[in-house]
Formats: sequence, C-alpha cells, structure tokens
Amino acid sequence: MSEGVVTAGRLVAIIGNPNVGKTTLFNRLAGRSQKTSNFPGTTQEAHVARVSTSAGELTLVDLPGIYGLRLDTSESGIARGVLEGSIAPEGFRAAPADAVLLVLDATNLLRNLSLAGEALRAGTPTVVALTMLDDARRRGIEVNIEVLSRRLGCEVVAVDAKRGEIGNGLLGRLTMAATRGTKEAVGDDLHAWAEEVYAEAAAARSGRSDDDRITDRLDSAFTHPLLGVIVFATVMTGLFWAIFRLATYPMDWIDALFAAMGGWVADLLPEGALQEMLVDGVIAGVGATVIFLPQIVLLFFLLSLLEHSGYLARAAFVIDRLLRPFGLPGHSFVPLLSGHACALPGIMAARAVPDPRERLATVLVLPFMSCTARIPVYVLLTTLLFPGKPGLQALAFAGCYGLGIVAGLLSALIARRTILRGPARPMALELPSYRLPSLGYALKTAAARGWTFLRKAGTVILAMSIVLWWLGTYPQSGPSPAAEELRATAATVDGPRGEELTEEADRLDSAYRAERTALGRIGGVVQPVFEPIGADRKLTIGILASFAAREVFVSTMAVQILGGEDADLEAGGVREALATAERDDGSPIFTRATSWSMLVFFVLAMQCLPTLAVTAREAGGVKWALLQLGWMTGLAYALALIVYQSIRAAGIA
Amino acid sequence: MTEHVEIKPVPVPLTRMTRGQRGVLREATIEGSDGEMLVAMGLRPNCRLRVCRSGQTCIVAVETGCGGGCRIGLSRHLADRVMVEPIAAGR
Amino acid sequence: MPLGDWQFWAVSLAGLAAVILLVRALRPTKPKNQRATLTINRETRR
Repeated sequence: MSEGVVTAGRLVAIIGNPNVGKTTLFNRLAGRSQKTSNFPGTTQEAHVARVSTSAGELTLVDLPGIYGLRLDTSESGIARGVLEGSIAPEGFRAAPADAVLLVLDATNLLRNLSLAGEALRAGTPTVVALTMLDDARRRGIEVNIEVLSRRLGCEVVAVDAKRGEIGNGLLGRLTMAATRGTKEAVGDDLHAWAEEVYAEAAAARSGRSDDDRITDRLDSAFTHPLLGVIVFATVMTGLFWAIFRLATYPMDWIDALFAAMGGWVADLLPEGALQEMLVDGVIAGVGATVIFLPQIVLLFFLLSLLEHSGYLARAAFVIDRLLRPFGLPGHSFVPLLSGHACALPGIMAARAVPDPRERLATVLVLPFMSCTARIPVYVLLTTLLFPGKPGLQALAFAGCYGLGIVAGLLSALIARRTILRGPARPMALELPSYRLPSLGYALKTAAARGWTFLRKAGTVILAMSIVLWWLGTYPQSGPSPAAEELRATAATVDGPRGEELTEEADRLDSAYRAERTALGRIGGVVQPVFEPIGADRKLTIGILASFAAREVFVSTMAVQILGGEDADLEAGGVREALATAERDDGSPIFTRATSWSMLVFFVLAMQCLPTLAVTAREAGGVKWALLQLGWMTGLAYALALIVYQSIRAAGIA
Repeated sequence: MTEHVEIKPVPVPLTRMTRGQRGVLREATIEGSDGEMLVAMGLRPNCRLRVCRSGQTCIVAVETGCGGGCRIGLSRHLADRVMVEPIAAGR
Repeated sequence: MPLGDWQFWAVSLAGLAAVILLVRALRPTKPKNQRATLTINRETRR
C-alpha cells in the first residue's frame, strides 16, 4: 500500500461555506453512527461520526459553516482549532486533522475557492466534494471537474446531495487521501488565485437566470419592511398554532402513559416509601417534563423545514431592524419565540446567533419569555383575580406575556450596555437560494433535539424530583393533635357531619405533616423573605418548590391547602378551595394584592433548574446561570414588592 | 476578469442605489473583522452587484465575486460604507 | 425519621445519588488547557 494510507481513527474535518449542503453530505456519509456534542467552552454544536470503510476507520467531524479560516468569528476559530489539533469535540481527543473534506458549492464556486485556497495552504491531505451541480447548470454555470482537480491538486468528486451513491467512493478516497494539495501554488493573494482557478475551471453565462427571477419575486415579498413582517407574523402564528394544536395529541398520550405507569408501579410494589418515591416523585416529576417533548420535537422539525427552505434567513433580515434597538440581532428572534414553548429548546436554538455577545444576551434574557410551564400558574391566579370574568382573565393573561417580553428586551438592552458591551455586529447575512427542504433531514434534526432534551433535562429532572420528594416527605411526623381531637369527635357523630369532620381532620393532618417536613421547615424559615410581597408560609413553600419547576406551584399549593395529593385543578371545588384558602392566622391567602404580586413574580422570576443547568452549559459557565437567577429573581421580587405594597397602600383588600 | 462598463466618475454609497440598479464595488471602508467577513462572503473590490432591495437595510446580489448569484443582506451601517460605481442600465 | 424501615434507607440513598448527579450536571466541563492553546495559536498567527 502507498504511504498515504493511515490506520484506524483517521480524523477527517469537513469544511465548507454555510449552506453548501455540507451537513446533508455529512449525514449521508455518517449514516446512523453520528453523535452530537459541543465544542468545549462554546455553544457550537459538533457532529461527529465514526465510519469504517474497506480501507480503514474514519472519524468525521462536521465543522460549522465558515466563509474563511482566518476570520474573527467563533466558527472560524473552531475550524482552525480542529485543523491544527487544538480543539476537539467534547469526548474526543484533540489531534490535528489527518484529512480535509472540502465541500464546495458549484453555484458560488468563486467565493468557495477562496476558502479552498486557505484550506489547501494548511497542507492537510484534501478531497473536494463539489455540490449543487444541478443548480449551477440551471444558472448557466459549467464546471470542468478535471481542470478543477488539476488546479487544486487533489481529487474532486461531484456530489449530488439528494441522490446517488457517493458514500463509499468518497469515504474510500478520504481514507487514501495523501495528496497535500497545491500548497505552494496558492500564492499570497488568495482571491487572485481563486479568480485564476475559477476562470480556468468554470464558465458562466451572464445575466439573470429563471431562478434569480423567482428569488427576486419571493424576496421582494418576504423582505418588504411591512409585508415581510406580516408574512413573518403569519408564518410564526402558523408554526405555533401547529405546535400547540398538533402536540396536544401526543401530549395526551404521554400523560396517559405516565399515569398508567404510575398505576402499574403502585400495583407492583408494596405500599411504602419506595413506591411513593417512584410514583409521586420519579414518575410524576419526569412525566410532567417529558410531556413537553412533542412540542420540542415539532418545533425543531418545523424550524428545520423553514431554515432549509431559505425562508428563515429572510425572516432574520426583516426582524433584525425590530430587535436592533435592544442590542439583539434578527437571529435572536426564533430562539426568543421558541422560549414561549419552553426555555430549554429556545436556549438551544440560540446557537444560531453568530456573535458570541449577542448569543449570550439572548440566552440570558430568554427565560423571561412566558413558557408553557407558567400557564397553569397564570390560569390559577388570573381566575382568582377575576372570577367569572373571562374577558379580563384573558387580558391579564396576555398582559403576563407582554410583561415578560418587555422585561426580556429591556434586560437585553441593559446587558448589551454593560456586561456584554460590544459593537453590535452589523448585519451581513447571506440569503441562500430557496430550496425544497428535506423531510428526512428535518426529522433527523428533530429527533436529535428531542433526544438531547430527554437526556439533558431528563437526568436533571429525575434527580430533582427525587430530591424534592425526599425533602417534602421527611422527616415524618405523627398525626396532628388537633386532627386526633377532631377524629375523636367524629367518632361520636353519625352521618354526613361525621364524614365532614373526618375529612377536615385529614386535611389538618397533611398540613401538619407538610409543615414538619424539611421543605415545610425551610418554608417557615424563609417566609419572612417573601412576606413583603404578600406570601405566607404556604405560598413560600409553593414559591420554593417552584424554583425546581414552575408548574409545581399549583400542585404544591393544592396539596398544602387541600391535603389531598391528587388535587385536581380542573375540578371546580379545588379552585373554590384555593380561592377561599386561609393563612395560619385565618385571613385569606389570595387577596387581590397577593394575587397580583404573585402573578408579577411568576412572570419574571427565574424558577427553573433545568434552564439554569442548560444556561450554564450553553453560556460556558455557572456564573452566567447565577447572574440569570439573580437578575431575574431580583427584578421579580422588586416589582412584586412595588405591586403588593402599592395595592395595599391604595387600600384595596 | 476585466469589466468593460460605462462608469460614472463618482462612486456612491450602496444605500443610494435604487432597486434593480447594477454597480461595481470600488471601495469599502469597513475596518476589522466585518470588512474581512464581507470580502470572504464575496463582496470584493471590482465585483459587480445588483441591488435587490434598496433602503436602510439592503440586499445585493453579487453577480461576480461569488461565482453565481449569492445574495447578501446588509445593515445600513455596512451599506453606507460600500462605495459603488453605478453601471448604466441596459447591460 | 423511620430509621428502622429499609425502604427509607433505599429512598435516601437514591436521594443522595440524585444530589451527586445534580451537582455533577450543574458543573460545566471547562477545558481550560484547550482554550489556552487556541489563544496561543491566534497570537502565533498574528
């Protein structure tokens, strides 16, 4: 065998401009063997695959799309690092790339050649994959592959990203690639070299093609200052309608599945602490989270379709102008919008924001957007505030969303003026050609995101549910003396009155027990902190519990007030009970002032541990998560305080 | 590649070009990484542009410079600094 | 505390494991040495 053949584990870096079909090609080469991780310390996703060919093993690393290797962007830095061997995806050993798969787009070959020149200069054995040849032909561009191959000094393989067998041929060539390319031939002037090669290897017909005309028409609608915003609003409304509407069915199935699982475990295990932990802790907690999986998968599926159709770049172009005053780029819009479903996928979607400071600002303010986990709390408090007035309820409900958005945008502005100060990266956005998006690719993306969500949030949520359950269960105490007395009285009374007394005793008991658990004691200690915003001991426990996940608030309050673990908000009786619930001193819990204050607090406070975990991971440090927690909760507290004290001062009961 | 075009003597900022107008990029005084980025995206000296959307934020199709017809959306900040010599219509 | 109940010990052990998992999950992996290398490369380049 020739000297170029390298043994197992040959590292191949895949390099190319954005939108050249690089990822599609990677997916086809990698098959099912690919893994998604991060490049360490960055928000940049790394796709890695191990494939074996007849000639040996290859590790393929799909690098982010770049316009040049020397540019001052995080993507370029990563590409350089992988080529030089100073950066490797998490879980992989850093080593200089053994070969480069250079993906060039035939429709924009001249520009692509500049990147090719830079890559060839590095002197790594290179194979070129030429994509979009069909599109190029339609535009009147003919590329002579032989000439191109001769000028680049390496093999050039024509690749149709959608059809045909390219896998083994290309992989085989990568395993064998030994040619170091025309390192010396690429002169000092990269662009002059690129133009020279282009003039020799490609012939282009001048003038607008049909494709151009169609693109012009679509662009004039999609990027119009007014019409563009209307189109965008329509598309996004459709997107979210689909997410909320279509996701209902699988969400119901998941709900039913977890309910059934709870039933099985309860039947299977004898009564005791273990059964309780599994049913009330693990299954209830994990189930409450996994229920959001359909929304997340659907969101990323539809976003992938929009992105690959070429529309999303146009949307970013239109929205850029609206977000700029707040120091955020157009790219932030989709993550911020996704945050209304759940902050976790929103933060993951923020990886699409190119500038690191703007990306960080987006991640930091994203949890201000009202996620679906807040909905149960909003429903509870708005109905308590405006009983029997659905119009006002809806208004208050919408107001919560508005408050979150305003707080988020203003916080972004403050962050960009202080800790994340830096020049706004002026928008230079490529608007790729419109294409028919690939369903398969969208499915793959959605599945990968869904899996990431399940794995990352799943482990954290699981652990948290167990911890929370434990703290809410131990230490256990005996029956409350007051309840014992009541029971004794109940035993002497017959009929419905006796039953009522027994029920009352049960309620007293569980409240008594809840007070004495670790969580209850913490609530008692922390209560003075939340007193100025109108919270009593029970509300304090509700707030504390909801720092793990907001939706816990409603069930925690119900459990404390009713004592029944299976308290169901849908039943009118429970709502009634919550509305008339009393503090330890006998005054009502949900006064007008307290309800408003709680509503403001829940809109703004950072009460989601999984989000904090993902922020720490995505932003590259716990300090960012702590900042998010401190800022959001501080703001929530301050505003809730103002609201509570003003309403009280105004003398409204 | 040489261009034989009728050239008006004074280059104008891209923001002053109208929709559908073509021009040759003569100078872009954008410093630092943003300038490098634009060059890498295909906006090179002497490349021919067609304005697809004019105004505060504009879109140009880079007719030569990319190799095909890549389109780039530019914020006003950048477009103001890209100086273009308009080409007479009809070409 | 129901110290005599073996199930209590089982769930407490699970709770401890959960706390350890949480602490590990919340602590991001920081590849300090690799970042440093990148900076050096940048400087070498310039």
